[in-house]
Amino acid sequence: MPRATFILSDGDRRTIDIPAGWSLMEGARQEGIPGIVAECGGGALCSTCHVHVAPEWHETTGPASDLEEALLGLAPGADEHSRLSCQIEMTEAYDGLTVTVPETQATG
Amino acid sequence: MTTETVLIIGAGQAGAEAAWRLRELGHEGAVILAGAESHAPYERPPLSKKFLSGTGDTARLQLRKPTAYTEAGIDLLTGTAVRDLDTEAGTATTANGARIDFDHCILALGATPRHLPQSVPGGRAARVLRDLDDAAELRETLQAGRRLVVIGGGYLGMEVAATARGRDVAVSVVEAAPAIMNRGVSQQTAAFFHAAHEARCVAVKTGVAVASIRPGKGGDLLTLDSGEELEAGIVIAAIGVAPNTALAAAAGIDCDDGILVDGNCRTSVPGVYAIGDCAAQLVPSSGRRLRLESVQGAVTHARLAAAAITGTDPPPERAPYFWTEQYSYRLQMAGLADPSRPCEDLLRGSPEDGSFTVYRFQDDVLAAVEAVNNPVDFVRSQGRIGQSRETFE
Ligand SMILES: Cc1cc2nc3c(=O)[nH]c(=O)nc-3n(C[C@H](O)[C@H](O)[C@H](O)COP(=O)(O)OP(=O)(O)OC[C@H]3O[C@@H](n4cnc5c(N)ncnc54)[C@H](O)[C@@H]3O)c2cc1C
Repeated sequence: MPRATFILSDGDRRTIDIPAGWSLMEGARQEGIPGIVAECGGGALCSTCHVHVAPEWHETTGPASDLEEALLGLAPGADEHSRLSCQIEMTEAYDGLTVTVPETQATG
Repeated sequence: MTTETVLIIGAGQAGAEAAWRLRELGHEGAVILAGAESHAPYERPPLSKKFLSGTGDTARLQLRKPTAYTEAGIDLLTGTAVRDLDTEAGTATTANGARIDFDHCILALGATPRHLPQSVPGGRAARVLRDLDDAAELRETLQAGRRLVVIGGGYLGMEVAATARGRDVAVSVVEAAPAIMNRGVSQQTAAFFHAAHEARCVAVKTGVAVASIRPGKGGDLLTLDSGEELEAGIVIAAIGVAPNTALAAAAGIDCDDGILVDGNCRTSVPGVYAIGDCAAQLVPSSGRRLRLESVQGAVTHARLAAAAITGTDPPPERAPYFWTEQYSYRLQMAGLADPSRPCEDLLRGSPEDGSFTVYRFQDDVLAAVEAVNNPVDFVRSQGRIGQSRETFE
C-alpha cells in the first residue's frame, strides 16, 4: 500500500498508508489528519483540501487541471506546488509522497 | 473542568465531527460517541450517488477508520442506542440497560425518513433510503431492465432516479408539487434538472400524488390520483424526513419540528446540546429558525457545540451550503432565499451548455447562489451572500 507523509502546520509529520485507488484526501480523512477540511466530500467542488506537494514530487503528481487550478486560486497561500488532495489518486508510484498542509483552508 | 465527560448520542456526520472537534479544541475529559448503527460513522451523500451506482465500497464511506477513534481517545460505542436520558442526574440509559454518566450531552440523533401517510393504502410497500443498510439493499435491486418508481421529486428522489438510470433501470418520478426540487431552488435550476431527467427517459410526473399501492403482476401497481397506473418492481418513497426528537422530548427538552437550540446549539436544558438534522436552530443574524439537512449544517453545528463546551470562540457564521449530483451535473447552493418573499433571479452562463449560475436577490441583497458545473463562480460568490446588488454589479 502506498504511504504518504503530511507535514502539519505545527511542524508535526504524520505518515499514513493509503489504499491504491483512493485519493490522498480520502486517506487523510480516514486517519483524521488535521487541516484537511474536504468540505465537499471530494470531487473538485471546493478548495478546502488544499496541500502543497513537496517540490521533488511535483513531476510525479503532475500539474493541476484547469478547474482545479481555478479553485486553487481561492485557497489561501496557494503556490505553484499546490494541489487539491482529492484530485491526487494514490498509486504505488506515489509511495513516499510528501505534502504540507496549509495553516488555513479557504473556509474551514 | 478538564476531566468532564462529554456524551455524544448519535454517531453520524454531526456526532463524529463533534467528537473530533472536541479533541482538536483540547478537551481532555472523556468523549463517548454512542451510536445505534452497527457501523462506524460514515457519510450519507454517496448512498444515493456513487455507492448506489454500484462502484463505491463501504470502507470508503467511513469518515474515519475505526481505530482512529481509539487513537484519538474517543470511545466509539457502535450498536448502542440510548433509550432514556436523565438530564438532572446526568445519566443516559442504553437499550441494553447500561448506564452512561455525563457532564455534557450532545444530541446528534439525525432524522427518520417519512413513510407515505396511512391514507395511502399499501403505502408501506415503498422503501426508504437513509442508512447504509437501506442503500446496500436498494443497490441489489437496481438491476438493468427493472422498473423503479420514485415517490417524491426532491434532491434525494432525483438523485436516486439519476443513479438508477445510469444502471439502465426504467424510472418514473411522482411529485405532488408542481415542480421537482420544489423546496428552495430557482425555477431555472428546477427546469434544467427536469429537462435533464426527461432527456434521459425518466418519466417525471409533477402535480400528481400516489393514491394507492397494490401488489401487481411483476411487483407493485401504483394508482395515482389522476387515475393513471404505474407498474413498478421497486418503489421508493423520498418524501422528506422527520427529526429524531423523541429522546429529547421525553427528557423535557423543548422541541418543535426539531430540538430547539440557540445560536450555539444549546437546548432549553443547560449542558445539553443538539446538532445536525435533529436540531432546529435560531440563527442569530436572521432571527429565522432553521432545520438544515446538510453535511455543512451538521459540521457547523458540531463545531459550535464543541466550542461552547470547551469555552473557545465559536466559528464564524456561514451561509448554508448544499450540493447535489445528478448525471454529470453538480449543483452547488449557498444561502437560503426567504420563501415568503419574492426573488429576483439573475442567470449567468448557459443552461444549454450545462454550466450556469443563478444569483438570487431579495430586496436587492444577494440571498442565495446556485451553480451547475460552475464551482469557481460558486466559491467566488459564496462570500458575497448578504451583499447588496450594487457592489455585486
Ligand atoms: C441518501 C442521502 C444523500 C444525501 N446527500 C446529501 C448531499 O449531497 N449533500 C448534503 O449536504 N447532505 C446530504 N444528505 C444529508 C446529510 O447526509 C445529513 O444532513 C447528515 O447526515 C446529518 O448528520 P446527522 O449526524 O445530523 O444525522 P445522521 O447522519 O443521520 O446521524 C444520526 C445518527 O444517530 C443515530 N441515532 C439516532 N437515535 C439514536 C439513539 N437514541 N441512540 C443512539 N444513536 C441514535 C442514528 O442511528 C444515526 O446513525 C444526504 C442524506 C442522505 C440520507
